[in-house]
Amino acid sequence: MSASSINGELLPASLGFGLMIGTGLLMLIIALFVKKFLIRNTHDFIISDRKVGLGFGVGSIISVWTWAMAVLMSSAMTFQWGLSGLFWFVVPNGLALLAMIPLARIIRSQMPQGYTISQFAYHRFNRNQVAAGVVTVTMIFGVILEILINLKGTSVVMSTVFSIDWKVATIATVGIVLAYAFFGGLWTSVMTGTLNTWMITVPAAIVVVAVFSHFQGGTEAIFNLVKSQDASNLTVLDPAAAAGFGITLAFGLLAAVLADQTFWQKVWAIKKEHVTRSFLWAGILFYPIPIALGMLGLVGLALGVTTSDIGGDIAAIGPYVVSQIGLPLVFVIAYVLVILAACFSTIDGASSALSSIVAVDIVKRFSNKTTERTLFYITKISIFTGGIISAIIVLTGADFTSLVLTTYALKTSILLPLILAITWSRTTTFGFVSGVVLAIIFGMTIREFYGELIGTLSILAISGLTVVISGFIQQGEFDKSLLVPDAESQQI
Amino acid sequence: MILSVFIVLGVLATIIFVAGYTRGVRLTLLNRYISEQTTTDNAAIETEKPVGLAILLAVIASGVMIALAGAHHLFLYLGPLLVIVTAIGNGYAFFYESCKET
Repeated sequence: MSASSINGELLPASLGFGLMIGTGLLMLIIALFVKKFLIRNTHDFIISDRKVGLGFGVGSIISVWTWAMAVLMSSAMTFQWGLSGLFWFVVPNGLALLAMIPLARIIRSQMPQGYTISQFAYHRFNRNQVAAGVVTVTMIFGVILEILINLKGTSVVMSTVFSIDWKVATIATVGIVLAYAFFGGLWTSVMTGTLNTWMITVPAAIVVVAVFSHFQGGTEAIFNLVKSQDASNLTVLDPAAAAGFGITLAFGLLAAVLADQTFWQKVWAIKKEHVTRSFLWAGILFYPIPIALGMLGLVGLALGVTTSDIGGDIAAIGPYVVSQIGLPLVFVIAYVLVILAACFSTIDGASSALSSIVAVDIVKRFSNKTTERTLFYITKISIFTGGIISAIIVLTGADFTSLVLTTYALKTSILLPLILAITWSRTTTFGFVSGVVLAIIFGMTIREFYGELIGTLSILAISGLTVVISGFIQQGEFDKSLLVPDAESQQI
Repeated sequence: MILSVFIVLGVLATIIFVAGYTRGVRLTLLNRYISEQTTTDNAAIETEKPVGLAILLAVIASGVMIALAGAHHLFLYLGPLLVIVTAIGNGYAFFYESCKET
């Protein structure tokens, strides 16, 4: 990303560290407040005593779903595919959050005292360790990948806008986030995450309008320049974008939310009467964020920037436009804050989700006699695990393609079986496990030979059909009323 | 000029957000106090209220907003304007919740 400096010069490292540490300190103050007034035990730490209200619910869902890479990719997709790219990036993104609503309603009604989606699978499939294990592993891989991608994205931006080594930026980011996340678990995550929603929204709006204002001729010139270069960039109906990435991304995003403990944790942590409303408002209010940031991609097109100008990485188009158009420093700082807020909130949300998996699906399941005091310590320490593993992977410079592929395979394979397990009482343990396994074996092979689109559709078809066929053959019917007493027996 | 308008809108959104946030913190502390006094929770998850139409409208509206950006240059401001609405909406959520619970 050659584009990262202002007029060719990197900003001082002290300013970059100041922004990171300053933001971290603000979050730490909130975390210490949370620790003092809201955390009494593990239950508070991992599920916030099921007392998260509407405001914190909405804010934390928006911020957790706004990844650092999403901030960059909304501009990138517009830059690459025009408004069609933005359309296919944005529409499924919000829809993925909204799709949680019917499932959240069912699961919170049937299992009001739950903690994790793996715990649901465990009880739903008659305490079958394989079925629960598949879900647990998927959730852990998802959390690690979430942290890893956000760490990577933030270290790239920080090291290219400021004269900070990317490795130092990685260590600083993970250190700062884990330091404050450690003190309050989910309560800290929702309270800092909500604050991050403000940090993402208002500065983003002002930065984008500042870019418009600094462009000679304003929005009219931007619009006309894009139109004169290629009018198809101003339409949302380009089928190439849908075929190129849109349809695959849509399923991927759906799987990213539905197979992610970060969101399920909130389903059980938000007050019952606000669960539906929280996800509905969050889905609706999320939409403008990538739409606004996508406009930076249009400005890049209007400027006639080429991919080689930005080092071959289209994700760099947003930082490039903001840093090269001649904006005063304050706007560049505001943009960096948007990315930092997106990164911090996603990492602390994922770390908090991991702590709930460790407490409920590992420690309590395999060592039920663990004392509350020991469990609380293990849960708190587990906050560090995902961050440290992710930081090591990023720092070693390892190619994490295999981790991305594994997580993709697990999440996409589990998507339909999980939906069916929640909504269809005839879903069987055998159908669930074999659906996931067969989809990974055959679906991923098909994907390897025939590409992403056919591969993704195959994975979904194999996993879904296996569950349905198995359900009709085995003729079993799950008694959902068993979920309540079963889960209550595992209260923390 | 337009930038100034957006800065003013941003400040207003921030005021609403901060007011809502502090109210949310107060309500959370109050709820914590109440939960220490009682273990009863009579609230129910709203499973009756249909949300399908709201979801459909939200998805269509997002697509229309993007399409409008390709129709006239002034619509390029729609995204930034609605992002400010997001901050206001989040702030308002705290007041809404507070009204519902009192």
